[in-house]
Amino acid sequence: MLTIAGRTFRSRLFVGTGKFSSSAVMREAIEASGCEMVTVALRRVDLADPADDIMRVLDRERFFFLPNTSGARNAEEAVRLARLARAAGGGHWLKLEVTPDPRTLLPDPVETLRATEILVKEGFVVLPYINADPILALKLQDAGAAAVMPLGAPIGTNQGVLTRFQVEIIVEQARVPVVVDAGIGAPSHAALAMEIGADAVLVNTAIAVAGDPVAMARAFAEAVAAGRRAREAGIGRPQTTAAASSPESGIEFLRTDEGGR
Amino acid sequence: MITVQCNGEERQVAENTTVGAFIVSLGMEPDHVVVECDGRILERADYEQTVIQEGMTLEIMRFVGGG
Repeated sequence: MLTIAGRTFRSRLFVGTGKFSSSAVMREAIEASGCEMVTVALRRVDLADPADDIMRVLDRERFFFLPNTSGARNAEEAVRLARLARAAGGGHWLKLEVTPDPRTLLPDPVETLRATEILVKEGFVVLPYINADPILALKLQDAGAAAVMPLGAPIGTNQGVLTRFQVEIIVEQARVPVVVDAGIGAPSHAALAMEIGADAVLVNTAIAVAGDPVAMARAFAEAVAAGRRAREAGIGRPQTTAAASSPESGIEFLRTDEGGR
Repeated sequence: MITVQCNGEERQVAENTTVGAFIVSLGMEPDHVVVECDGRILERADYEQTVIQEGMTLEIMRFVGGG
């Protein structure tokens, strides 16, 4: 079982709730994913549509809310969003995101570390979204982050785990759980993340905009479980020379060029 | 009636309206939103005690789908 800040999760798939075509599809896909933690964002209420309320759609007893600080471009904005999320009843867990560049949505490492230091002091359980930087991951862990969330590829790109080499180093060094977040576009990407030792993955776009989000959610659940099981089973190392799978003895009778010895 | 700024729009509110009553009048559940009153986060417990004043700036936020 996965444990983050003393809370255990049976499912190692976390699901983002953005971009779904409707609340009904979102709820059904989240059910199908078997996940226990979902991310949410905090935004101004559209006064013209007061009934559009995610807290009426998802049962928080079953799906633990992890508010994000999406939209924050520096530490101050992230801290403000964090405090608002807590006051909105989001609890004290937080996916910290600081993305100053709207083109790449890549996280700002300096501001993320600064915000983590502030928010940990305020009692938040901070899960920072970071570039797959092993040095930064260690600094965040030392600053009190409850997990680290390195990206596989930029948000919404479906590119997979382009950062494999760095994620492997982060996994090897981390004392806190590693959640691969962003860029995971297909179940095979999620399985790879788990096979290289991630403790969990967070998927949003790939499920939400799939042709059939409910079926895709199920596929991700299976891939994450398979990847985890394979990791625990022990995966063979890549070799540069061939090694026969069938016995090399007991085939001598076939040789005619050596006189049928 | 008094005038306030709410989520970037001007709104008319009856005098002596509390923040809690205002949220309900807009069709929202007070337990599902967070309110910033002139830039200060209001605790839920204070919704019923806080009376809206002329010229106040209110920001009402809540959780939405996000990754």
